Amino acid sequence: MRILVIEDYTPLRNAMVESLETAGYAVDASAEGDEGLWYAQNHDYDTIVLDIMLPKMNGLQILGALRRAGAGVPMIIISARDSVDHRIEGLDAGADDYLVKPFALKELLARVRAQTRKAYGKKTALLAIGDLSLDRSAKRVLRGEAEVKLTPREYSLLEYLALREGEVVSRQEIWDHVYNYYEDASSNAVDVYIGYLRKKLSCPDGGTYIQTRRGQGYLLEYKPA
Amino acid sequence: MKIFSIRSRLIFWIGSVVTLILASGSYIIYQTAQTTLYREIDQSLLSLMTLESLELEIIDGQVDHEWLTDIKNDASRVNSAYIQAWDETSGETIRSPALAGTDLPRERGSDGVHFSNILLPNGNHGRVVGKQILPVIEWTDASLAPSAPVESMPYYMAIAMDIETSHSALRRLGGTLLLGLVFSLLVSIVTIRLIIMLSFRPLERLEQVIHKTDVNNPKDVFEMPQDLPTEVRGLVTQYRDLFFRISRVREREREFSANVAHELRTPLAGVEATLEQALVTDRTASDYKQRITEASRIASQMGELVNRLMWFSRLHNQTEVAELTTVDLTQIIETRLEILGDAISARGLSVEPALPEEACLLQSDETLLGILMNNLIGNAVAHSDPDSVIRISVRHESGRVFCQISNACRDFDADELTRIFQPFYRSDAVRGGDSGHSGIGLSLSQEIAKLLHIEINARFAESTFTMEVIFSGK
Repeated sequence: MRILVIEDYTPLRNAMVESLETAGYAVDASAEGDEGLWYAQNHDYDTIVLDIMLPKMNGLQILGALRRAGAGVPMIIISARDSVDHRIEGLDAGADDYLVKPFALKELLARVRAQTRKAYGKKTALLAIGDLSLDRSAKRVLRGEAEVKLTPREYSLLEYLALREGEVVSRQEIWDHVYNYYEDASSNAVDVYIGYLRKKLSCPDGGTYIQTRRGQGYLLEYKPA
Repeated sequence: MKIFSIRSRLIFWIGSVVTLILASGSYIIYQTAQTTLYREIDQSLLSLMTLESLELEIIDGQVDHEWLTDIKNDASRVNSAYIQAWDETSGETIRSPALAGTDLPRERGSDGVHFSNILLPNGNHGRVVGKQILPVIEWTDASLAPSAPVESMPYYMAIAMDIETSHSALRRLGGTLLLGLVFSLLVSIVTIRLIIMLSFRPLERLEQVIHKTDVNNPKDVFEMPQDLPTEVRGLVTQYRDLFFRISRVREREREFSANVAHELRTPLAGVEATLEQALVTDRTASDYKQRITEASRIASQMGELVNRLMWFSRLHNQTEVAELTTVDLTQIIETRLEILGDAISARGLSVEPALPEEACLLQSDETLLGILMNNLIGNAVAHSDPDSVIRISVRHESGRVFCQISNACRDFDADELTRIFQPFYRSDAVRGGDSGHSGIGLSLSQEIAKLLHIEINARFAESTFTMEVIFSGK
């Protein structure tokens, strides 16, 4: 999942980025409003975390510009302004959530999870595909009762495919939503991790969870042998 | 003391004036009618007196009250003629039968004629005229002519007339006028109340409009009713302007409070997030140290901000008192430059001071002046273009001291000059939390300048930003 953080206060921005990356998200960050808008308009994000009091362009202006352009990406406002009027203003401007500073990073993570869940039409933090279940809160994967140990990257990849269960997801989409831009951009990085994931999810009966659609991408769907 | 409403006062005073006018008019009408009537009556009486006085004769030395004889012989006059005559020499009196033994008044007027009102023996109101008369003397024989002159035989005659009819008519007139007065008064009061009620209706509508207006919403300026009386338009306009100013002040206060909350909450969020992230997993000692140091730095900045806000609040609310002593402006500037030395070097800046060699002594508050110069010089250091020159000069002119601080600032928007002294205003260059700039420095400087009676101006021209501080001199 790829998150955009637009916050001008450096210590807070750094802490949020680190927290989100630790939780397995790919994160882009900007300290200025106009640059943040450029990021949002030119990349596909699963959630945008947006401060209001920004230099050059404030958060409400960014919100308005994106919504007018038809962007449906979930947006969480973070602001020190806690009055009811300010919250109403932010929500009416198109924000999906409003978090008042100071806040716990854990809460921010939970709200990001909630927004991404909603964006993909999932009602709970628990995703189930066949006998595979994925607990997004605990970042745990179970097959039946047995836990499947995954690396953070493998987990992020599986989570993204699970959120888009039943859909064919292209390599580019996986790259955009799971990988940080500063990471190695080799063309087969996605294929390599898909291979790792397949190996860890392989079923004794030969059934597979990750299907390949040649020329299109990958699909998370259990197929018996 | 009871305060009466305009309505009550208008009703009372207008009602009083109307009552006075109506009462005066009624009185004048009544008096005129009465005077005219009595004049007619008195004329009649005088005419009767003239006639009857001729009927008092002395014939051959004998008094003959022929008027009495005429009355007795005229049945219509027996009960209606009220005449009495006195012999002023002997005091004897002769009365007409209608008087029934009662006396008419015997008084003298200034011209010998006296009029008065009486009650007649029959109970009716009467009008009487009295006058001294001289009898008509006649003799049949010259030897019977009186030896004394007729003036030595004066008589007083009084004649009364029944004026009950006229009196009743006057009474009816008086009653009618009184009723008319009362009715007119009532109608006047009702009309006055109606007019006042209609006149005050726009004010009542205005009252409702004002009642519904939200003083916390500066955009909610009430509209003046079109039918408002011209007498109060000026007052309402002033009130509306005052209300708008109060709303603006409230809005600025709310904005200031919101800004303070924002400026404190944001670094607080930074501290909380930094420490929370430090604790989320096991880390190396140096990692912990780095994060704790960062949190400590932010906390220190917050402390400085709180300090500045306290200063600002005290100065803005005029609870701070300047302690005036003799201070050396040159030394204050040099001290500040020394403190900011690292920051100056870090940005590749150089400083060109043009300070007088001798001390520049002023009567001022050393602490506040230090804060002021620290803010101005600190801003110049923070906002100067990298590797540029900051010029600081102090000069004496016309008994005043001028201090100028100039720095190159290519990206400064001249339109922002009007905003730089607003609380929490910061240019985009120093936002982000790393610079320690809270945006309160210039507002604080302005408050200090007000307290110390210093003039402070900002100019921007040809990519150079200049702050000028003018002291009134020692």
